[in-house]
Amino acid sequence: MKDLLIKFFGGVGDKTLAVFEYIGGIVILLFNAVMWIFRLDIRLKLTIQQMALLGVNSIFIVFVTTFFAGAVVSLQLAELAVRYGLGKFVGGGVAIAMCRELAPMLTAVVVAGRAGSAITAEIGSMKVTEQIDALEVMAVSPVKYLVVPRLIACVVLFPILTLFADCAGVLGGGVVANILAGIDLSLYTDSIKNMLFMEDFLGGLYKSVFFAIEVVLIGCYQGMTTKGGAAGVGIATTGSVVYSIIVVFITNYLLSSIIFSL
Amino acid sequence: MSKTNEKNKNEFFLEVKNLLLKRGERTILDRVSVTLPKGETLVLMGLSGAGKSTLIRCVIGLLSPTSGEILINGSNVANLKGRALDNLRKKIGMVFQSPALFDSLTIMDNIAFGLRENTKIPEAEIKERVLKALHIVGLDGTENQFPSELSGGMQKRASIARAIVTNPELILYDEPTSGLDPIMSSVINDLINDLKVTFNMTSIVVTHDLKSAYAIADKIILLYKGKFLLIGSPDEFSKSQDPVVRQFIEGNSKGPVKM
Ligand SMILES: Nc1ncnc2c1ncn2[C@@H]1O[C@H](COP(=O)(O)OP(=O)(O)OP(=O)(O)O)[C@@H](O)[C@H]1O
Ligand SMILES: [Mg+2]
Repeated sequence: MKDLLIKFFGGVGDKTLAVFEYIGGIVILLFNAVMWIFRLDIRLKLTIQQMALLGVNSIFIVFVTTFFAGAVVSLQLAELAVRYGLGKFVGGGVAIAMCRELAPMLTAVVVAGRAGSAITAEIGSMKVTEQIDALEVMAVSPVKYLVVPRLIACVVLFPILTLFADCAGVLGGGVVANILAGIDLSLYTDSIKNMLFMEDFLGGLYKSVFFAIEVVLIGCYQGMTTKGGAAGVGIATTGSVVYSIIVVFITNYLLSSIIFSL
Repeated sequence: MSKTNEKNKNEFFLEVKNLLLKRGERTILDRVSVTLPKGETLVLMGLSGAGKSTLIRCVIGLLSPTSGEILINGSNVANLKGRALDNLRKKIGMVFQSPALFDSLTIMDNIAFGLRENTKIPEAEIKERVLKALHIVGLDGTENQFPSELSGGMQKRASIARAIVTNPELILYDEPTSGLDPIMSSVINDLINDLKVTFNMTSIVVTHDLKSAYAIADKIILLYKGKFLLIGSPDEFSKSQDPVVRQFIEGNSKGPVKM
């Protein structure tokens, strides 16, 4: 029994230590990246390349997921609205739900799956084939060359994609409200104008910047600490997506409670 | 006393002192020491897994030794960080055991990489130097291809071109001729010797190929069980009566070394 307890708490201790080590690694990576940014040592060409690559990768899937997220919110609201005659709240309800929570979060989750995994897979395979070592040996910082361009690309890209997701969600909501609940489109848009404030909309965009930093740093860190050949790259990539999604959900709650507190 | 110290400093370009490297519980390098004057070629031999790659990774600061020092031009690699380390690395070329070419870049961009990143040489001259380096390693006409489009041996040669194009003072070659045909191997041996004569380049070469070793070495080391079993000239190496060295040279499966 005593042995079992020791083993259990020892295991918990090791895991806790590993989590702190991981967080420490991420913080150091962020610090290094920010240092290169402050020195204005930024690869413009690589950054634009990454933006195109990651943006194009993600835009379709962001549209589809958020369109249907908006649609399903509208479905639920429209049913209530028809039942209680509150049709003038549907548009605003959809827009607030999208702009505050669903668009930034779904965008982050989808991009973590699409772009975050791509970042880890690419950097991870560079790591296991000694390309990262080759960079260092040629006196080129992997953080400057690989992390900073991806970080800047995503920090620019996430708010844009989130904005796009806001629109897609509102569109999806509008289509459902109109077709299923017979709510007039002008009523729908008026409702948005009356109920949605600038803060709701901006709050979501602020959050998306945080999500971008999290997804990129986790993606890069997972890649740069990859071990053990092709199998290792697979494990690192899965980890990247899982950790990103967990961290995005947790920080989303924290950020929302700060930004949208009464 | 102090006089000889000063003399040593100038004389030895590379000095490994009591280098100890452990990985977990295992001791890979067990307090080894060697010196290498400028312009000489050191050949590092040993069984697969003996720690040859590990040693040259320590030399360029990719691995930190558990204890001991590696001095290059008098500065201890393990103590260097950031810019100082980068400045040292700009003077060193490295050919990895895996070619480690950047697979998202063309052969041209791969080989030009160091020059573009670390020098202000105009692009036209860089291109010219890259093409010349490619010619030396027999890869004319591959500059617009990607590494994945080349054979293993061609990739290896491209990585040699990438290491020599910057004209470093020290080059570390990890099995430069593995995977090459006998003729190409001789071309690479000649290249290493030419660089030594023309630019007074210092080299450390890991190889399993005795013929190469004899062709290029000023000094041969046999790394065995974490120690330098033998440090000597090619002549001393080939005439050694140590049973392990003999078995290694003759490539016997039977002898003191058990697999
Ligand atoms: N990343 C690592 N982590 C732990 N141990 C390692 C690692 N890389 C190598 N080793 C161990 O270090 C020892 C030396 O490896 P090294 O690659 O230096 O051998 P080598 O002499 O270059 O062999 P080869 O001729 O096959 O290339 C090996 O026994 C290996 O098990
Ligand atoms: Mg090796």
